[in-house]
Amino acid sequence: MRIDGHMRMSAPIFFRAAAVALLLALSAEGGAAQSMSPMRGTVTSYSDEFALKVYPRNVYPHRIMMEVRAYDQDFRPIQALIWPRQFWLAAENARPVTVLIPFEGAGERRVRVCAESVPVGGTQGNVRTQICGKFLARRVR
Amino acid sequence: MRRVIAIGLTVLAAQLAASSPRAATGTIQFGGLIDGICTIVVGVSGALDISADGLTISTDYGYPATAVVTTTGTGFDLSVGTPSVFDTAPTDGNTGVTFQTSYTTTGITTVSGILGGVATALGIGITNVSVDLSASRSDVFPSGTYGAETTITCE
Repeated sequence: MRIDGHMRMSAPIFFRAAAVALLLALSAEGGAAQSMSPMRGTVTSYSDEFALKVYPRNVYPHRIMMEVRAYDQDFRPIQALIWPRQFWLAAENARPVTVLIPFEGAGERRVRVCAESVPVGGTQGNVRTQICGKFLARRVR
Repeated sequence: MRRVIAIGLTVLAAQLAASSPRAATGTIQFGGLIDGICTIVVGVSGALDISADGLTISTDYGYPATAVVTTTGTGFDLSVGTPSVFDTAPTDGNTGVTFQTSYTTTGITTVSGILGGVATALGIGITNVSVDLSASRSDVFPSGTYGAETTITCE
């Protein structure tokens, strides 16, 4: 958005409609669409860490940049070894991502693993999508 | 003649053998536990514009961002994050700015004007999401290019 003054810019309706139509057309190329599975799960581990394998999926007909992040149950970022963390995903494809998370002394841990789209190209109102799976990990001592 | 009859009887016997009730049928079962998933497809990026008094930049004066969320199971929630700054702004454009997001859904899940941080339980199926962003402050916004990013979460 370019604001050239403190008054609202008013364009003729025709040009507005044309701009919306153009954006709709562009969004078919530049939008991001994704899913992830599984989105729920319980794992048991005998070690100080537990591992998850998730499959982010690009359901769009063109490649998108994706990133996988780990959060605790309050949505705070947590330490995790994620491989690959950021990657291009081909059209209508999924790939496995391994996430290794420490228990940090706890007997069980509830975490979120999220597949997030990385917007490419700058527009004024970009939308980042975030698909989060919720997982419970229990440590067997 | 006897030879022709013998050949005919042989062919008949072979056909009877092929269609004999010794053939067996079986049933193969297929099964699997299908986990529910959530899919988000971004539609249009939102467009911001400024209010007449210059104190608010909002999609109310442009148009909202859209997305389509599809779920195949229960227990999924939708929420929208609120940015804390403009990713792109002119000098002093980020000073003293308060952001607010809200969303409206149609389709299998119908809500209106829900604040971004408030989660909405999604029904099973297709939900159309419209996201509004608003930034305001006590001074007029300086002219320039503004851009912000919001996050739509399905969990």
